[in-house]
Amino acid sequence: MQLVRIAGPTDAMRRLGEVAGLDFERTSARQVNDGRWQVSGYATDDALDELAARELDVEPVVASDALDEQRRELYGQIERVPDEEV
Amino acid sequence: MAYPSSAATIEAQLGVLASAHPQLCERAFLPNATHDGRRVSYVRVGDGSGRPVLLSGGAHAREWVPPDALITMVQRLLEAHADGTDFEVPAFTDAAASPDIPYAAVTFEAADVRRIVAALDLHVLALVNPDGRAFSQSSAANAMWRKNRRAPRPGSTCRGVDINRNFDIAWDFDRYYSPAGAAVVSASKDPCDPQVYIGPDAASEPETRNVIGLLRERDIEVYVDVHSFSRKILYPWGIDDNQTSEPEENFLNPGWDGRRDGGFGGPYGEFIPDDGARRLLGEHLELGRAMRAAMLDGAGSDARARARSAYDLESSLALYPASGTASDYAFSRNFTSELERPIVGFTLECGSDADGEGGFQPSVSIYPKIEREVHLSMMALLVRVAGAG
Repeated sequence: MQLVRIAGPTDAMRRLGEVAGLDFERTSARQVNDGRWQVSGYATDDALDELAARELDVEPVVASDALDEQRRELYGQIERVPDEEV
Repeated sequence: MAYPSSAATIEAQLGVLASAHPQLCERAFLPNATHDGRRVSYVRVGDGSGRPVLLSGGAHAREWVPPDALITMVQRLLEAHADGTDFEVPAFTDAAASPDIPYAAVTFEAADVRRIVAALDLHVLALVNPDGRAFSQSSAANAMWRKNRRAPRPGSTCRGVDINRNFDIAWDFDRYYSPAGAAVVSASKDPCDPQVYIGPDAASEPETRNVIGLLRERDIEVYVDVHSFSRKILYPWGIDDNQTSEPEENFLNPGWDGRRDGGFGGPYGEFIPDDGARRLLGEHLELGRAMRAAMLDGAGSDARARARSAYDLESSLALYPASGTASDYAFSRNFTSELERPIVGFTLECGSDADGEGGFQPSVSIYPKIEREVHLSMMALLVRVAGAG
């Protein structure tokens, strides 16, 4: 899974919810140019393939390795109350 | 309290705040325990006679910043009031940038702090969805969990409801929208949808009913639901595009059922009054601009800091309509409650996917930058609502 930005024409972008494995942030939608829209989201490899098949532009923001590393670090820093079960 | 905090830590911290400031801050439990049996509490600041305000966070499990940032904001507010000092948002340096990016220190005067406490009845529900947060934080494999933890139906393995699609505003989207509109709405009736399952009924979820209870019983007039991420201040409506001239085009009118388009420029637009005594759009724009300016001006003079502190102020619709959201529901009470004063409802989407801000789960090193934006925007709002702006 990686964090990406996806851009494309309005109609195609409004159907992003159909793409399995894509978890996009609805409120990140921004109009970029020529009536095209861009959203940010987390995509699996399968979702990236589907986005490519739909001829949407995909810009990597955080690669999967970096995302995994960030999460590993962050999970080790969660402040828990004493004896909290996880 | 250090970011990121667990659900249990957040609850414990609310108790700490109330214990440390018993004259000013009361902690109370909400009536509906979660599906996993957790009790949810909030803190109330003020003597109860002021204008009712509610700030909430943590409806979406994976959005780790809002609950932490809301708690530290209340903590600073209470400490400043107790000490008779200014509310200080400390300077921050983003050392991960090259070269470093400095963000300026910002002060809200002690007089503003006193006015907020005296003029407002401030409720802070820092963590709406503790079950979801606990699950999201249980393992990196669960990091992206968004919903609550409602148990699966018999024969299914699919858990959870999106709290922010469960409120009773256009909840039954198939009935509400045209087929084309329903096809693009950010909502789903499939319990296995991992993101936006609306639940078996409107307000079916205990977490939703807890928020609704506060909105109704306390007659909340100013509501902000803090989410992440996209550096946006969002005002109503999210169910359709706004219009100010056709009052009969409204969510209560069954004559439009099945015909609402849910997009910009279609035959239907959601009415938002903006004249005479009901300047609801204008009220949102004024408050939203104050929040936006506080974050931008608070960045200081560095051009990169300012660029990274620039939040957009826009309606919630953007590209996709969303039904059943908390802020739309709060705002809808302008038309369904007997409150005479206007009700405003915002969603703050703090943080970004860009500039190393980490999307839903920023690193510890960049968290103070996003936390300060929540503090700046909320304090600017509170100052303004308290009448000092």
